[in-house]
Amino acid sequence: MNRHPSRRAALAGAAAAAGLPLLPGRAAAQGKTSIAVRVERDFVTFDPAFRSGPHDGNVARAVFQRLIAQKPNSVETELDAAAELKQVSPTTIEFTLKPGQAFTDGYGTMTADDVKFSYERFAVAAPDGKTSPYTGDWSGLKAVEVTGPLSGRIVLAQPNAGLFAIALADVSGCIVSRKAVTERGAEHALKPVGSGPYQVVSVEKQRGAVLRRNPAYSGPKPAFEEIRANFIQDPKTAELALRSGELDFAILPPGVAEPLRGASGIAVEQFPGLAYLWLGINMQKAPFTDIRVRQAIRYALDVDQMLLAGFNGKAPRLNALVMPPVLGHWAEAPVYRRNVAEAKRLLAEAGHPAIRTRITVLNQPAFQTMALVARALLGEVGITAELDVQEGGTFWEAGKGEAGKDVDMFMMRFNGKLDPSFLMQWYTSDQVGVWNWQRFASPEYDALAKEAIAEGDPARRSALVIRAQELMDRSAAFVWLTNDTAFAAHRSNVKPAFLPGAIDWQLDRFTNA
Amino acid sequence: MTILSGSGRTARAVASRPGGALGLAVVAAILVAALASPIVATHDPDALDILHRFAGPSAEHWLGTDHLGRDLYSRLVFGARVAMEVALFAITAALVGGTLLGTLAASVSAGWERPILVLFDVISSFPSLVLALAAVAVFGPSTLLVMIVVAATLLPHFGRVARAQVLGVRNAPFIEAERLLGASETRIVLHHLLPNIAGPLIVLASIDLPVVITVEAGLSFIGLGVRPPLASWGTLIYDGYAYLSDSKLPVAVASAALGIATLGFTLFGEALRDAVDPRLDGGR
Amino acid sequence: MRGALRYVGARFVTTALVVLGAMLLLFALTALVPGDPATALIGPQATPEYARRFIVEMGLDQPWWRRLFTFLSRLLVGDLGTDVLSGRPVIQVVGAVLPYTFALTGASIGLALLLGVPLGCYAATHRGSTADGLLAFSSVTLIAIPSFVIAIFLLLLFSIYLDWLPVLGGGEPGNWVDGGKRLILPTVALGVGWIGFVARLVRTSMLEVLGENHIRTSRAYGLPDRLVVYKYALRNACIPTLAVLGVGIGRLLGGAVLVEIVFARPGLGRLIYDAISTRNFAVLQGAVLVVVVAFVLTNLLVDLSYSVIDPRIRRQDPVR
Repeated sequence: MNRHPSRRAALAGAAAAAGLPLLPGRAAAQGKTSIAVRVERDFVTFDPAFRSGPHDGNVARAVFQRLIAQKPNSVETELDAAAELKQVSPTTIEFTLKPGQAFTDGYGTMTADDVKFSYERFAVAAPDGKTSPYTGDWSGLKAVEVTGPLSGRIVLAQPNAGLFAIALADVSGCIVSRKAVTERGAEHALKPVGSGPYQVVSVEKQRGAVLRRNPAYSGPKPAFEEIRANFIQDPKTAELALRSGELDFAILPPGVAEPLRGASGIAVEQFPGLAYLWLGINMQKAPFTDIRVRQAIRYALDVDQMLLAGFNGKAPRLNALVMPPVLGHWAEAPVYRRNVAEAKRLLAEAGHPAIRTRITVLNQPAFQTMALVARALLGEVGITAELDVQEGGTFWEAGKGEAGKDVDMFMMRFNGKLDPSFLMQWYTSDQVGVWNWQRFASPEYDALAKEAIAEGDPARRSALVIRAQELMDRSAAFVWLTNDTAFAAHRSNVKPAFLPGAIDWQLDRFTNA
Repeated sequence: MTILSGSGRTARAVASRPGGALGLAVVAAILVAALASPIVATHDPDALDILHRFAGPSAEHWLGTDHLGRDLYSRLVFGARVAMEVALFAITAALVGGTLLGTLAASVSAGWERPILVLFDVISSFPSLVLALAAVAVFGPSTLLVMIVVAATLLPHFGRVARAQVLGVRNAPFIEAERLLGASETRIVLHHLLPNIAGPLIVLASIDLPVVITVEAGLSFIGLGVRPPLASWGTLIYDGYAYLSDSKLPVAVASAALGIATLGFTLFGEALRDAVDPRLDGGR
Repeated sequence: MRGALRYVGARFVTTALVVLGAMLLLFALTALVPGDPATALIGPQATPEYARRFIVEMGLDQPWWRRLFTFLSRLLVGDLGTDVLSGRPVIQVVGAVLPYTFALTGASIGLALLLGVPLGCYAATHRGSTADGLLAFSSVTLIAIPSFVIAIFLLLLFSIYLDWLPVLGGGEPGNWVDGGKRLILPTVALGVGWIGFVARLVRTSMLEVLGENHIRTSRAYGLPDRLVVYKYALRNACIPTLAVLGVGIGRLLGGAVLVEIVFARPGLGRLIYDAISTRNFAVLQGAVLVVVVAFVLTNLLVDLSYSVIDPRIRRQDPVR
């Protein structure tokens, strides 16, 4: 951690005054003043309510303040924009803002009304009819009542146990300026006005964004004057850029990250991920309507071999929906081992000794590789599978609506968050034809999911979540593969900061090592 | 004039040029690999052996194995089959379609000429990548789709040459004579025009063949080509590139195969052109 | 003169028809393509309402011919539409990547001419020599190897093993030296095939011209050999070369996508690739229009200059 920001700032000032260009990157011994990180996708909007994915959200987290925020590399939260935050009842949270937190570009200081605006715009359709894709993060929010210029009360219609982790402390809890959003309109998407540690100075299509330290930010000063978020789609290119020192930080797939371990000046760290992969089976399509066929598939597959192929064997095996760091992890979940005889027996018993089927996958190397292994394994029990490799544009549509009835098997990867209800929401009955491609419709599961989101007591909540996972296990429609594994590769002189899972970054907490 | 009548002589003429001989050898080798893949290959190209991934060359695996433990040599051999299938189908389709349209534009009636020429221009001005991506989005990736897309993009090339050839031959004295003797337009096209323009078009086809191989490999390289587990040289390069740090062999070997194949076919096509009609230059 | 004007006029009409035809094709294609930008981009978190919003905003709920009509009528006032994902005008989005595409295309063509023309001249004047044979063979080799294969090998060799050149992207805006360095490898990858192509073309054309009467006459008058070759022969040989390069420029503009992907370089090809992957049709339409217009215009220019230099061509309608 850098303890002498003022000294470097003075140096930078001197260089600027002398008309000298600041050397980006390879600065002297006291550490870098600017770093470059890789983003996998083009930025779409930094507006917290309309972000298109974690890459947009990661910038939003550095540009806006939240009432509370996570400490570096931790799930523990501390006060950010709030001077005080108190849960007075299961449905009421009171807050008081710190005074004098200025929005950039002359948009004044943050008030409780800005908080109200920022949160309520998720639930209510904005004047132009736009609704946020993240409405669910604020589910149960009734209103934010303003009780003073800097104080207010968040009122919920029903308790929401995930509110702190999913909404308040995360991107959906970012506080925007009502005035700036209203005045800038569509412009605000890429010219966001925040009060956080960084401000966006430029965004270019296919190049990424440049963030510069916000001098007016009242919190702890971030270590780097400038952060360049470079858009590099191809992980291989990102690896090469890290080696050549053009890039300081990247999250890489295992096949690319592993070999970097030995490289000089580069550190690779591995974290259990929050994104999770599984092979799903459409329960409503023959012959998979027969549970014995689904069980046979589960016995035919060898998850460990699939992981060896797809992730160099470096990804931890997942045996149920909820991964270890999240509340409701089911440690005793059954671990299925390959059993060809049992699989064949089940198929014969079901009257389907030979099946022709299709596995729908996204056109990314790790997925294709695992699907190829699955195909070979299934072939040995008499199931002939064809790979239906699709690009992102069509893949995410494959299981939806009417087309979803026609899907056989598919391989999926969802991003997770540290709250079980977030993970559980995609498998309810009303998600059939939307994201529940297994068409797993269980009223019992639906009831458990509903109960879990409102349950305030962690132990009781955990029990509910585990019971829901037992139901999923009994359906045999899910072959859990892995909760991914995040490989964070970075130059050894930079210390990155992110939340568990490494999907959500804390760019303002990156430091010189 | 027609090369069909004297193919033996043409082959000798091709082989007598140094580049031509080399080209002929490469083409022959690839054709053998493509036609007799199961015999030439030593393994099932799709058989996985995860525990022996990235193995180096050995007596068992002549060129080693890839990221799924598949035999690289056998995949290369079967890759030749995919390349040839795509190339021959696409070229034939473009040749037939292009000749039809080109002949139609030049000979049947004046009303057809303008729209056909505009169609050719539309196709050549349209980024073929968009066509490929859109087609893949609609129908999903498949070998057939690659063939159709490539054929469509090559169509104008053949069409224009066919038209120019027909225009050149149409008013030749012997055709005029036929016409005076009362031969129908169809008869003239079938019996005189087509045989006379066939030579240059076939040469053009042989020159375009490596282009097709390259395009297929390119599409497969961005994951839009053939469907896995089918081995195409493009997918071999794509897979090899993704696992480059584990083994450099797949990329090197697959690129070499692709390079040698396109080079061989180019040399062959050029020698053929020189042998048939030295003044012809397709210009691609 | 009137004939010439008629010819030019007819060519312009055809050009407009071609652009219209290409846009017709594009809109018909986008009508077939399944998927919407919201899910393509956001994946699992896009709610149906959110996806619906994009469909309406992009006009995808309307039939494709009406979208084409809207697009064309906006085009008349110079409006390419708005990228609904970022809320920016499409013209800005396309404009941002154009300099990179022009730089790469220009540099590749430049490289091809700079090396290809002298090599072709040399080969033509030393016909039948070992050097000529060697050049013929290596130019075929250069043409034959796909540019993305060359790109991969260049990247590995120069950026990683030797660490001479930077790897990524287009460089910092305004930093010419850096931008130039990052241009080298992609230029070579893309231009190397064209070197061989130009060399062969120049050689063939020059051999033809060298056999023509006025060159023989000049030689008979005892003009120094080198002067004859470079002045007369080269000038004449330029015409077909330029014609083919005209087509080449059109091709390179949108066709560099594989090289752009390998080098993570911004450019028109990649913009199109990304736009269709994310179903961002507004951007796709704008970018495709630029590529088509560029292609058609270079061809028009080439045809016109061609026919000015050699009026016979007009009637023959050159085969490209």
